[in-house]
Amino acid sequence: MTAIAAPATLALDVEDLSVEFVADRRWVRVVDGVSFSVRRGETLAVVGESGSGKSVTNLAVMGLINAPQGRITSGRVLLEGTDLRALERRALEDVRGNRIAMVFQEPMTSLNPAYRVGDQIAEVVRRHRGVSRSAARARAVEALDHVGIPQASSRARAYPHEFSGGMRQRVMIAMAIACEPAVLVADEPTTALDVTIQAQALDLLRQMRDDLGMALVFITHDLAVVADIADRVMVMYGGQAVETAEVHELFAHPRHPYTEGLMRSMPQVGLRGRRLASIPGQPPRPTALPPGCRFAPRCPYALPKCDVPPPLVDVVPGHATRCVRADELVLRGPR
Amino acid sequence: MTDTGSLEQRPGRPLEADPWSTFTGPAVAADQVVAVTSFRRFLRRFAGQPMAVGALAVLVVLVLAAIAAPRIAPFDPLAQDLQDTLQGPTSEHWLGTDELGRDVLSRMLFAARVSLVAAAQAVLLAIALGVLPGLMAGFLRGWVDAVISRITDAVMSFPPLLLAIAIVGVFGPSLTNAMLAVGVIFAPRFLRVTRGAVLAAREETFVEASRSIGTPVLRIIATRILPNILSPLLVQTSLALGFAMLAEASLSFLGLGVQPPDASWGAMIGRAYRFLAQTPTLVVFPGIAIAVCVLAFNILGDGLRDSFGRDTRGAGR
Amino acid sequence: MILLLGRRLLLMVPILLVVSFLVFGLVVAVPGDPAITLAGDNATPERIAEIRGQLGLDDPLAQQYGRWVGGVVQGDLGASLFSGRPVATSIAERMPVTIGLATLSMIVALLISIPAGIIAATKRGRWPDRVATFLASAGLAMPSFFLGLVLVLVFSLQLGWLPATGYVPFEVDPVLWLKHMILPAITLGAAAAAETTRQLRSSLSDVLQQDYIRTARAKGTRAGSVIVHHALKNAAVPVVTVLGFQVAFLLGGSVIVEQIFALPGLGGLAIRAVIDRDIPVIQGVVVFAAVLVMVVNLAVDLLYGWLNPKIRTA
Repeated sequence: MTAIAAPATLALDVEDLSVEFVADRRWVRVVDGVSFSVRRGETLAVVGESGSGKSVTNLAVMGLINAPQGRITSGRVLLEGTDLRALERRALEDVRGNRIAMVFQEPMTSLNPAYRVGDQIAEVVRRHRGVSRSAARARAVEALDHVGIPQASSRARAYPHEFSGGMRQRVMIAMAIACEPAVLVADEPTTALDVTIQAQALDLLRQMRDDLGMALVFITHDLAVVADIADRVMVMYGGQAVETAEVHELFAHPRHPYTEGLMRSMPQVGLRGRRLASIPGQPPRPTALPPGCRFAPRCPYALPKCDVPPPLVDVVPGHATRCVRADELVLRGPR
Repeated sequence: MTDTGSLEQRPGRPLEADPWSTFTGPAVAADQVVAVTSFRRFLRRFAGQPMAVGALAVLVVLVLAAIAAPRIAPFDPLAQDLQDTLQGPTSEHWLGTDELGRDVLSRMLFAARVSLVAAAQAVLLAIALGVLPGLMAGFLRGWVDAVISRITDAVMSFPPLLLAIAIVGVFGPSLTNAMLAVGVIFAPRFLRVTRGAVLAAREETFVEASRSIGTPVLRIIATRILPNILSPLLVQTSLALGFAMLAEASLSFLGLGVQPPDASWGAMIGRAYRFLAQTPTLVVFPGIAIAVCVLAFNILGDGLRDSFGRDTRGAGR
Repeated sequence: MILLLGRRLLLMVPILLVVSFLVFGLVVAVPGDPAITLAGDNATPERIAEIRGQLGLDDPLAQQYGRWVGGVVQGDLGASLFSGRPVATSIAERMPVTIGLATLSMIVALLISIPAGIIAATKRGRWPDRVATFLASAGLAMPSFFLGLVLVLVFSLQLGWLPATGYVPFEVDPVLWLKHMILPAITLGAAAAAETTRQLRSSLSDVLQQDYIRTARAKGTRAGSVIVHHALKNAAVPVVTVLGFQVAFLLGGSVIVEQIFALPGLGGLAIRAVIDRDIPVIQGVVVFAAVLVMVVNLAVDLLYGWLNPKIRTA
C-alpha cells in the first residue's frame, strides 16, 4: 500500500469549518469553527451527545450539506491536499466514494431496498474506476469477501432485506472500501447493532483501516468504544470542539468538565446494576446557545467567569480544551 | 445552581469530592413545556395556510350567494327573451344570455344551489353508506372485515363514472338518481378511511385499556374511536364534495342529471356546447365556476389534512 | 413470482363474484318491465307475455342469474333489446377506440407527470414546485368536458390545427388517427396527469429523505442518477397504485370525452344504451370495464413485485 510509504502526510485536514442550517426562517450555526486532521492508518474519534454537531461536521466534510436547508459558511477541507470546498459539484462527486467514503449509523435503511447488494457495490466501482460491468461485479464480490461475508458470490445477488443488521453493516463497509479510499468516515456504525455484533464490526473497521492504510474518522457518543478503537479523540459540544487529545491522555487526564461528565456516564465493568450517572439537562439547541461557555448551564464547576466564550487552548502540547478553569480543576477519568 | 456548598448541608451522607453527585442541572425554561389543546393547535395551523383560508372564504361566499340567489339575481333565471339570445357579456347581462335569451348570471346563481345541494346530498349518502360498515370492518375484523372489504373492492373495480351512468340508466335520468349513484360510488372511500382510522385507533393504548377493563364495544366506539376518526372523515368529506360536484356536473353534462328547465353548472355547459363557436362564454363561465369551486374544496381538504396531521417535521440533525 | 400471480388470481374470484351480483342486480332493480318497453306502445298483453318468455323473465332469479353468468363466462353478454345484435360484438367493435384513447391518455399523463413530479419534488417549496402543485390542483378541479371544450375552442376553432370531432381508425391512417386522438387524449389525461404529479411529488420527496439516498450521494453517484436510478424506482410503488386507479377513472371519463369529440367508442355505446334503457348493453359494458380494471390491477400487483423485491421473495 502506498499509504505506508508516506505515513506522515495528512489524509484529511479540516480547518475552521462552520455549518449553518435554516431554522425558523433564519440561519443558525450548528457547527462552529471546527478543526481536526487525520493521518493514514490513524483513527480519530469524534465524540459527543446527539445534537453536538459531530454528524453534521462530517456530512459537511463529505460535501453532503445541501442548499437550501444548509450551507457551509467557512473553512477548508483538505483531502490528500485538495480543498474539497473549492471543487465543482461534479468534481466533488468524483471524489466521494472514491477517495473518501462514509458508513452510516442505520444499516437497516442505508441500503437501497430495490437493488441487489452486489449491484449497489458494483455501482460505486463502475462509477469511479470506469471498469466493465463484470469486472465491477467481481470487485464487489471481492469486497464482500474481504469484509467477511460468507459465500460472497451468491450473497451478492441477494437483496438488503435478506441480510441481518450486522451483515448489512458489513455490506455498507464493503461498499465504502470498494474503491480503497484514503479516508473512511464511520458515523456511529455500531450503535444500531447488538452488543455482540458491535465488537465484530469494530474489529472489522480496525482491520480494514490497517489492510488499506486508511485514515478512519469514527463518530460516536460512546466513550467505551472510543477507548477501543481511537488513537486520538475530539470531544464536541454545542457545535464546537471542546477538547482534543491523544486517547490515553484523555482518559487519564480529562481537562473539560463535559468530558468528565461523559466518562462518568460510561457503563463500568464490575459495577453492573449501579444507576448510570448521566449529565443533567439537555444539550443546548443551536437556536438558543448560552452566551458564554456553551456547557456552563450543565456544568457543576461553572463560575461567573464562564459567561465569556472560552477559546480552545493547549494545556499541554497535543491536548487542548475549551474551559477557562482547566488549570484549576482536577478532573477524573473513568473509575 | 453552582453552589457546591450545599454538599455540607446534607448530614448523614458521606461527603464526596464529586460535584456531579449533587448537581441538579439547569432549570427547565417554562416556554419549553407549552401545552396547547389540539383544537387550538388545529386553528393555529389552519390560520397559517393562506391558501386554505382563502378556499374557505371562496366557499362561504359561494354558499351565501346560492342562498341569496332569489334576492340578488338580476333576472328571473327562467325568463326567456328570444330577441336577445346568445349574447356575450353586456352591461345589462353581465355574463351574457343563453340560446333562449335567459340571463346567464341569474341562471348560474340558481344553478349554484343545485350543484351545491346535489354534491352535499351525494356526500351525505356516501357517509351514511360508508361509515357504519367501515366501523364494523375496522372494529370487528375477521370475516366481517373480509366480506365488507371484498364488496368494497368490487365496487371500486367499476370505473366510477360508468357505474354512475349504469345506475342512472337503470333508474332513469334525474338529479336524485344521479346523486344516488354518486353517493354509492363514494361510499367505499369513506368506508376505507373509516376502517383505516379505526384500525389505527385500535392500536392506541387507551382503546386496548378500555377493552381490557370490559367497556362495552359501542361505548368504546362512541367515546374513543369516533373522535379519532373525525379528522380524517372531515378531510375526506371536503375532498369528496369536490369530486361529487365534478361527478354531478359530468352526469348533468351528459343529460343524465338535472332535467330542464332546472340547471346545474354542468347542465348549462351541456346545453351550451353546441354554441361553442358562436358564444364560447356560455361554456367558459360555468366551467370556471365548477373549477373554482372544486379547487376550493380540494385546497380546503388538503389544508384540513395538514392542520390535523401530527407534527411530522423532523427536528433536523 | 408465479406464487404471487396465483395468490392474486385467487383473490380476484370473490371480487368477481360480487361484481357479477351487483351487475345482475341492476336488472332486478329495473323499475318497470323491460318487456313492456320492448314491446312498444300498442302491444297486447299476449305479446308482452311472449317477450317475457323469450327473455326468461318469468324464471326464478337464481336461474336467470345462472344463465347470465354462464353466458358471460363464455363471452356471451346477451343481445341488445333493440337492435338484437350480440352485446359482445358491439363491445369488440368499439373497444379499440376506447382502449386506444385510454392508452394515449395514460401516455400523455406520464409525459406530463413524471417530469413535473420530479421537478416539484426536487425543488420542493420553491417556485417550480409551487407552479407544478398549483397546476396539478387546477387540473384535478377542471371538469374534463370543460377542458375538452376549451381545447376545441382554441386548437380547432381558433387555430384550426386539429380536427374538433371525428375518428379515423389506426389501421387506416396512423397519422390521421393521432390527429383526431390528440385533443381527446389531453382532455382525458389531464386529470390523471394532475393526480400522478401530486402522488409522484409526495412519494419522491419522501424517498429523497431516505438514508439510502444519502448513501448513494456519499458513493459519488451523479446527482441525476441518484434521482433516476435510486429514487424513482422506490418512489414508483405508490405512483403505480395511483396509476392503477387512474385506469378506472380513464375508462369512466372516456364516456364524456368520446361524447365531446364524437368518437365511436364504448362510451357512446353506454350513453345510447342508457337513453334506450337497453339493459343487456349497459350490463355488458359495465362488466367488461370492471374486468378490464381488475386485469390492470393484477398487472399493477405484478409490477409491485418487480419494484419491491421484498414482496417478491416474501
